[in-house]
Amino acid sequence: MERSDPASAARRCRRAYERARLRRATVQAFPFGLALAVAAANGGSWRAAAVAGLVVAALVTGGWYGRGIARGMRIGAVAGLVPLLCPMLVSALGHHCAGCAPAAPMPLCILVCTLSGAAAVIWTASRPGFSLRSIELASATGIAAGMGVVGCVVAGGFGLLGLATGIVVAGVPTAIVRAVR
Amino acid sequence: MDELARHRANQLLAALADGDRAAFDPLFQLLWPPVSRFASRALASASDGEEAAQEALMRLFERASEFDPDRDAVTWALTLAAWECRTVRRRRQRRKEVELPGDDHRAAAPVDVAAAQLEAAAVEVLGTLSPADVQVILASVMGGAGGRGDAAPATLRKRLERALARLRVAWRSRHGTL
Repeated sequence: MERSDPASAARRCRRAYERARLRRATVQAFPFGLALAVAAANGGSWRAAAVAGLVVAALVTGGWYGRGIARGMRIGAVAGLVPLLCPMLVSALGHHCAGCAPAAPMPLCILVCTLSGAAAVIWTASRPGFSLRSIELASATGIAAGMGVVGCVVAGGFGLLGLATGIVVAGVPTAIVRAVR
Repeated sequence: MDELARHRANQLLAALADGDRAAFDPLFQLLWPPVSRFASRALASASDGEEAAQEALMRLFERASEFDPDRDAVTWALTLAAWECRTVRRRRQRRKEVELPGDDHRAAAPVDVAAAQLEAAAVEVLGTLSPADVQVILASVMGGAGGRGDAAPATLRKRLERALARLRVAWRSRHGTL
C-alpha cells in the first residue's frame, strides 16, 4: 500500500481513473471490433485488416479520452455498422462483389455501398445536439467512414468510390439543410 | 459541507465522467477532507482513516464514468468510505484474532475508546445495509441532498423510515439492544 497523504492519494486515484476509463473504452469497443474483424476477414485483404485495426484503435483511444470525441465515435460506430455489414450480407446472399464494376451486369455491391454510406451520414447528422462544425460530427463521420471502408473494400475500388459518393451526396445536402435551419 | 460545495462536487464529477480531466484536482480537493475526516473518525485512527479514504476515493474515481448527475457525489463518496471502513475493521478484527492480547492502546482515554468503538460499530452495521439505504441515512444525518434524487419529501421520509428500520434490525441482530 502506498502512503496515503493527499498528494499520493490523488496520484493513485488519477491512475485508477485513467485505467478504468481505458478498460471501459476497450469493453465498449469490443463488439464493434468483433464486427470489424468479421468484415475484414470477409474482405480478405490486409488493407481491410489494417483499416479495421485503425478504427478499433481510434474507438478505444477516443472512448478513453472522452468528451465530444467519444460521444461522436459512439454514434459513428453505430452508423458505421450499416456500410460495414450490408456488403457482407449481399455477399452472403450469393452475390460476388469482387466482380462488381459500373459496367458489370449487376453492380449490386456498389449500389449497396453508396446507399449504406448515405444512410450512415444522414443518421449521424440527424442526431440532436450535433452542430456542423462540432468535433462530435467530425469523429462520428470519421468512424462511420472507416467502418464503411472495411465493409466496402470487398467490392474493390468501385465499392469505396460508391461509399465516398454516398457520403458526399447525402452529406452535402444534409449540411446545407442544417446550416439553413 | 454546504449545499454550494455539494453542487460544485456534482458538477465536477459529471464533467469528469465526460472525460474532462481539468475537473479531477478540484474534485479531489473537495472530497478528500470530508471523506478522510469521516473515515478517521469511524476507525478512530488517522492513518487507517486516510488509507480507507484513499481506497474509497479510488473506487469512486474508477467508477466516475458511471456517475448519475441526479445523485449526490459527496454522499456517494461517504457511502464508499463507510464500506471501506467496514473492510478495514474486519481486517483489524482478523489481525487481532491472531495477535497476543495485552499490547494494545492502553494509553487511550476510556471515553475516547468507548466513543470510537460505538462509532466503529455503527459503521460496521451501516456496512451491512444496501448502498441505497446507506445513502439515504447518510444524506439525512448530514443534511445534504444525497439519495433524494427527484423524490418527493413524503417518499424520502418513507425511504428513510424503511432504511432506519433495517438499520435497527441489523444493529439488534449484532448487538442485541436499541
